[in-house]
Amino acid sequence: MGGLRTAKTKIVNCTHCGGANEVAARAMSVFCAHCRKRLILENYVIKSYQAVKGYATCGDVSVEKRGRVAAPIQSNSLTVKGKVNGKVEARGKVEVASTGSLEGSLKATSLIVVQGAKFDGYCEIRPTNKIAEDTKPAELVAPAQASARSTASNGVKKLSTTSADKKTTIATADAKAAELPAKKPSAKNSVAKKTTKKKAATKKVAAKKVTTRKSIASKAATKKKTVKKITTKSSSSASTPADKPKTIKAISTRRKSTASSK
Amino acid sequence: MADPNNDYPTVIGPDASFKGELKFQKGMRLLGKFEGEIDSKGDLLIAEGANLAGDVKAGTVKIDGVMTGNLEAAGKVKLSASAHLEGDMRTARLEVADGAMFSGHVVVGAKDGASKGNGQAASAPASKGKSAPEPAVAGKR
Repeated sequence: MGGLRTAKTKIVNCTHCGGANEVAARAMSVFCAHCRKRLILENYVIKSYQAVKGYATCGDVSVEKRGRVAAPIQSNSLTVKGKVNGKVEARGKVEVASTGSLEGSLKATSLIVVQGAKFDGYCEIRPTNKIAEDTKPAELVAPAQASARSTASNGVKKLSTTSADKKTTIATADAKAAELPAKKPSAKNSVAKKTTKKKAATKKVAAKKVTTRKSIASKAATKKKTVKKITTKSSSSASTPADKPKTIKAISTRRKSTASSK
Repeated sequence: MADPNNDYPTVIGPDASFKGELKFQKGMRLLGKFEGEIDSKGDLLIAEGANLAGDVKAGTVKIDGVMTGNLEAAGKVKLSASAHLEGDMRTARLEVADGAMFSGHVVVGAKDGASKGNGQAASAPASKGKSAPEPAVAGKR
């Protein structure tokens, strides 16, 4: 399926549009799935002054003791041991060490300014989930589909969007989820007879899906991640019935692979 | 914290509501509602569920609850995850935990700010002078 089969992925938020992207952990740059702009994922360590227009990365920025920045910084977390003069937007923690000084407006989720450090400017600190609420939830769901590059059927796609949209729609999503697993086995029956084991396996996956979807209702905070999991999960289970019209051989091999993956 | 009753002898209980100007020496725990000014060298703890509206001058300030107003601390300001602060701040050290909400102008570690926080007489005009340039900074953004 998707190219991101390796487990080492991370979720980053676009520095331009704020949308979530699932990227390989070792990737150094990527194109945003929403706005198609380039995202830099590297960590910056600034040890001296550099004449740049600004630092914008999804990674971390560290301004060392001799580092000077007179430009806006956009990063995940920021550590200031040198001097920073400019607008700072961090999705995570901002830390100003005792040798550091920070001047300019600041947006972050948490902040530590130790004794001896200097900080002057307008400051806005909001928790992570509040930032996520600001960016439209629809945007956050779209990346899950794009990053998973699922070849899943339309039904599955709809499910993932509805489940993520709002708690209120989850009830209907659950109903759909119940329908889906019911359909799957019947579709399989029409193509080829297979062992009951495989049936049970797919049912298990379906049951898992339902339970995870229910857990979404309770854990609104971890919504994003679980949705992503669901899309990958559902695509893995749904791709089999969707691709039915192909030869039985191909199906049986795929079954094996799915069974072995469990 | 060994004994909260020792560290914070003054307590405004959770069902209390206070309006006016308050001074204390050692420390105060605010559990209820407070509206007005606090002027002290001691420590202030705004507990979770407490509500404070007004300007505060104190030594160390720990905020777990909601506060609206300007804050001036000679020591440390600590905002925990449940804290909610709106207003300008002038302090020597600052710690804002993940989950806290805070917006306002901050001055940390400015040499005049720290000394003014200690001397009450000097700090009174400082806060008045500070409030004027603050909108200009907001406009710059």
